[in-house]
Formats: sequence, C-alpha cells, structure tokens
Amino acid sequence: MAGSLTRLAPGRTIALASAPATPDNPPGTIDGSVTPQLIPDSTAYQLFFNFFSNRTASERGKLQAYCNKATLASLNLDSILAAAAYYQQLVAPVDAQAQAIRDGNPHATAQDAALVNAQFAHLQAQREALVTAVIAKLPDFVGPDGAVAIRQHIDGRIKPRTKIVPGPNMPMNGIMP
Amino acid sequence: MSRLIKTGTGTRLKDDSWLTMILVQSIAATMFILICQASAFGQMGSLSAYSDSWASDDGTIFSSGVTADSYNSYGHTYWTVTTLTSPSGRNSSATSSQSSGYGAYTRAETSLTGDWDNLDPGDYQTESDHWMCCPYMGGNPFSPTQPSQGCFPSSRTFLTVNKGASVTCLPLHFITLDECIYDKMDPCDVKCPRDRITVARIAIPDTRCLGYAQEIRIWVKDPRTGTVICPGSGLTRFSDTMCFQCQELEVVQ
Repeated sequence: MAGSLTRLAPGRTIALASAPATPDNPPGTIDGSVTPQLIPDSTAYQLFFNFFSNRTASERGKLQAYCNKATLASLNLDSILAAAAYYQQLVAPVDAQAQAIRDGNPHATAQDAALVNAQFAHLQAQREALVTAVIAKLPDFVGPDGAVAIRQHIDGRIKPRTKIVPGPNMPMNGIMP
Repeated sequence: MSRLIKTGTGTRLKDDSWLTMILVQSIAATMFILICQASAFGQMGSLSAYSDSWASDDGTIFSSGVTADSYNSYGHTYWTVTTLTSPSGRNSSATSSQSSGYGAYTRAETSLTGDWDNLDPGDYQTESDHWMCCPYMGGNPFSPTQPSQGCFPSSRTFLTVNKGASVTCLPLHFITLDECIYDKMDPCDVKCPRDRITVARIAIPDTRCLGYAQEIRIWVKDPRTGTVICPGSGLTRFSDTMCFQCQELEVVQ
C-alpha cells in the first residue's frame, strides 16, 4: 500500500505513506481463532446484525451467497435483514445520547476523558441490555430453528473470525507514555 | 493497639491506634490515587476486527473486513482497508468510509469475479487493515496522508479460502419423450459431484439429446477446518464429445 492512493469516501482520497508494520495481534488481543470462547456474545451478535445492516438491494445476491455458504442457508434473507433493522432501531437512541454527551464536551482533554467516560458507563450497560433483548427476540423474526442456526453461525463462524484489539493507552499530558 | 510505657511520673497506658489509622488511611489514599491514575491513563476501549470470505455459485469470491467499536466513548475514528488476492495474483481492494459514532462500524468489501473458463483455483487471501485515529493522541482522520500522528492501523487480519471445482461427467443414461436424463459416471470421486441431470427436450436445439453432460461446480474450502462447501448450482455443458472421467480442479498445497 505504500505510497498508493486509496479511495476513502466519495470524492476524497488519502495517500498512504509507508506504513509501519501493522501488528497482527497487538499485546492483549483476544484472537477468536484461538480462543473463540473469549469473544463475548454481545460482540459477535452486534457484528452479525451490523453485517446485514444498511445494505442496498444490489447486495442481495452477495448476502444470499453468504447465507448459502453458512448455517444460514435455510433462513429467509429478508427475515435476517428485518432483525438487523430492528437492532439498529433499538440502539439508535442510545447512540444519539452518547453523541450528545460527546458534543457537550467538545474540547475534552485526556484528563477529562476519564470523567466524561463515567457518563458513558450507563449507556454501555443500556446498549448491552438492548443487544440481549434483540437476541431474545430473534425467534420472532427467523423462527426458533432460525435462531438456533444463527447461534451456530455466531459460534462457528463469527467468533473464530473475530479479534478484540485493545485500544491505545491514554497519553499523559498529551504525550504517549 | 496499646502498650505500657514508663514516664517520670509513673507508668501509663498509651493508645497509639490513631497512628495505625493514619497509616491505613495513607495507604488507602495512595491506592486510590494509583487506581485513578491507572484509570485515567489506562487503555482506551477496544475494537472488534472481523474478516470473512465466501463464494457465490458462479465462483465469485467476496471478502469483507470489519472494524467496529460498539462503545466508542473516546471518539476514535475507524476505517477498514480490505484486499483480496487470487492465486494468480489478481487483486481487488476496498476502503470503507470512516466512522466515529458511539456504535462505530466500518465495513470494506471487495470481490474477484469468477470465470468458468479460467477458474484461477487455489488460495484466495483476504487481508484487512483495521485503522483508527485517536483524538487524544492528536489523530486527524482528515489528514491527507496516513498513517499520521495518532492515526495508524491498529491490527491486521488475514483469511484464506481455497477455491476449486468439481467436474462431473454424466453420460446420457436414457431418453423419454420429454426429457434427456444423464447420470453420473461411476466411479466419480470428486468433492462436489452431481448425480443426475434432467433436461427438457424442448429446451434443446432439435430436441436431440446429446451424448454427454459435464457439470462444473465451484467449491470453497476453509483451510483451517478443512470444510468444503459445495454450491447450490453449477455450469452444465452438453456435448457429443465423450468425457472420460470426473475431475477435480484444485491446487493441492
């Protein structure tokens, strides 16, 4: 990628300078291909719901192929898309609240961040609860057998292909420790 | 804690439990400060990185790379760069848009189309770089050059799927008034065989049943598990030219 131009968003490109070697697994990474049991359900299900969210009609063939090559072959694609849309609908207000908190602290310093973060704690709990609620409601969208098939997909495919990578350390006085 | 001490005026009981209290309080205060420091200058959240690759029945390989942070309280900006490379060196790359919302999610998907006459079998490599910009590290996601200060690929994921194809030879077995029926030759030891093909004669030029059918079915294998996934359908060709055997088109590592 060194020195190449990459399309980032419509109408905008960035030049990728010679990048430092990207760590495959930075220290503290949970690698689902090694320890899938350490990938939380909420993380895996959110990846699943997001994967089927905000898709265009032209992507149906690609998504159907994805389902056909997984334990999801027996499921109706529209029912999965409906469940994903339901998830988005539920978490949208929480995300809006979080954005309001962030907008209220536009110039937060590194030292402030931890304090601001305390305000996010209850939102995280709220979001977790909503994800649990959507998982519980899956049979309403895809039927009981469909929910089991998705569970198998989560355990057998999503978790082994997921990594949880720790964020960077908070800089001290703007300087990385 | 009490002890007897002698003074010039005699012996009295001295209670120095207040010293112990101060000591305990000091330790507790120190621990509190340390914990707060650790919290304030500790790790800033975490991201989820996901990669997947799959094939459609026509042999097109799709790859998807995802970078997500469902609790993005530090306002990190994320994006994903996914590159798919075929065994012959064809490649295709995609870069997602950026996301910095609380439920940040970015997905970069790309594909390499299948060609029945040039299957390009073997290992298809998916490589995804999961980028992030941290505002507290001075990261500017709008910087025209990346990586830059505070913006870097935080992780990289790799995925390999192995693509191959099973070619089934099906001689004409019998003919009815309406149909030509082809049955798989025996033996036919391939990963994704087709047992029988039935064709309506009305769909064939001159309604004449040709001598042989050949069906190509493109499969993908997960090298990690060895699981082969057969497609729902394949490409069928009819000919009077004899096919002698079933074949596996694959690159064995």
